[in-house]
Amino acid sequence: MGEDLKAADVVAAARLAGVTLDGQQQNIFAEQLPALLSAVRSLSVRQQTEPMLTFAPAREAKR
Amino acid sequence: MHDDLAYLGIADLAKRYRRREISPVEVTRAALDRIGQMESKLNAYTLVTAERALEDAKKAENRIADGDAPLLCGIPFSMKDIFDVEGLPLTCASNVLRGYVSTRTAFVAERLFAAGAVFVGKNNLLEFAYAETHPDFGPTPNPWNLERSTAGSSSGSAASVAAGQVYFSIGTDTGGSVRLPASFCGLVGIKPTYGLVSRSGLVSLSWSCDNAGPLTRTVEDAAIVLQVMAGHDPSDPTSADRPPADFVGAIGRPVRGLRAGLVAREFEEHVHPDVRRAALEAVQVLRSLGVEVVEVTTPPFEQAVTALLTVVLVDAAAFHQPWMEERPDGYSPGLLERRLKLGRLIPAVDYVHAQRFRREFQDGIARVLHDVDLLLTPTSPFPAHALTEEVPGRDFTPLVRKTAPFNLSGFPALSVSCGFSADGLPIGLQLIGRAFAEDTLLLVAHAYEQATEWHTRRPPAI
Repeated sequence: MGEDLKAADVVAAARLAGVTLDGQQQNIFAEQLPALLSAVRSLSVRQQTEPMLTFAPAREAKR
Repeated sequence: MHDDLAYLGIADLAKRYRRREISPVEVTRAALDRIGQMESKLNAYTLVTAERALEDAKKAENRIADGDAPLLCGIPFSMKDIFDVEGLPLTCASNVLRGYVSTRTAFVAERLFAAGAVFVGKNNLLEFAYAETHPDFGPTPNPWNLERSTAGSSSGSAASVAAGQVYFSIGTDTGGSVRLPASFCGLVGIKPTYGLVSRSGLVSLSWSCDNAGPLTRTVEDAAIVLQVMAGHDPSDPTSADRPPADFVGAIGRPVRGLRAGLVAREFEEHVHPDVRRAALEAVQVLRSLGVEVVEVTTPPFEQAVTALLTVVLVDAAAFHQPWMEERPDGYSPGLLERRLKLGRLIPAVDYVHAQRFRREFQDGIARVLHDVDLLLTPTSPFPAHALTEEVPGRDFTPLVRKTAPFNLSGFPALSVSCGFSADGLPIGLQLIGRAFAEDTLLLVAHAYEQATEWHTRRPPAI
């Protein structure tokens, strides 16, 4: 998915996800999804960063 | 109930019980009367448990007479209808759960019941604590102005406490759903450190962002309630196995010498002028009390909101997947079509990217909090918006901009009333602390509250 997402792309993604969308919702998501994904993908993350949330003592000690 | 009694602090009411000036049964009956009188306008409850409440009040009366009752014994309270209470319906303000009766009791509720607090009912909320009102449950208006929003999602909880129906209520906060209603309704609201308060027995919106927290009229009340709520729960794998701080004991200690970080950008960008004025005046009060206030730069909040919304969209879609397939008609069209289905379409790699950003954002906030004891921002960028819009423009990014970053990062945050807009709507100041340092937030908020008179104001009669 990219900036030029079309309603047909949304339908294909929805089918893969097992979701049924009416025509109006396809058009709305075709606008919303690129903006959301573009914002997420612009978040800067270092290569070594792992996804986790913890206040484990070992992490606290490293700070 | 006379207004003066309805708006008493918890410790004051507990003293009156012990002096036998008034009984828990009388106070509970009066609370139920106030709920009954206002409900047609306020719509703050999905369920009122009058009979059970009066029985519990009688038990509390006997327990107090026996001599060793906890402070919360006999104090009427409510909970957002997202917590399980065995034998009672659980709706989450949605038709998806119509007819369901809980078979267990949430850990937090168990603790409050064990302390003798008198449960009077379950509060209305935004459907499943998300950003939509189910039309069959309807919105809860703001007691300060019935044409304005309570924000949400803990809307009924905030309205009920602000209207003097109960002495405290328990809400949940996944992006600001305790702190924003607190700010809009002139209350104190706490999102505790992730792991301080058990999530067992509450219906999830996003497992790693959900927190249960108290809504109260004063900081002291918040400390008293949080003290009972906090503590290790082996049935919640994310519950912290460490003793909570002494929240009540923290109240009243000196604040001189504490360092607060003013997140200057969050007082300037897209902030209503009345909010900016009130929040900056509050900062001046803190300075006058001896708190050293310095400007700090944090990682950008708007990026944290993007990550939080991504995590919540996907977590909620994952949690709701079975119901989306089995009972789609139970949802409001807004929640199902606009939120849950959207969450199903976000690619896994982008979800993981948001979670990795989360790790870095948490580290960034921790670095700032290494040099200061707490951070300061307004709670909401604007006072209560029109009731007809759950979220202005259906985009809740601006509304949660200052609160959601601390669901993403897990740090504790508290909203305290810090003034009013020109048209008489409450405004909140947000204090953010180090992990498990709720005692510092309560200490500073209490000192501020005692130096001002905002907490003594009451909404107009309903």
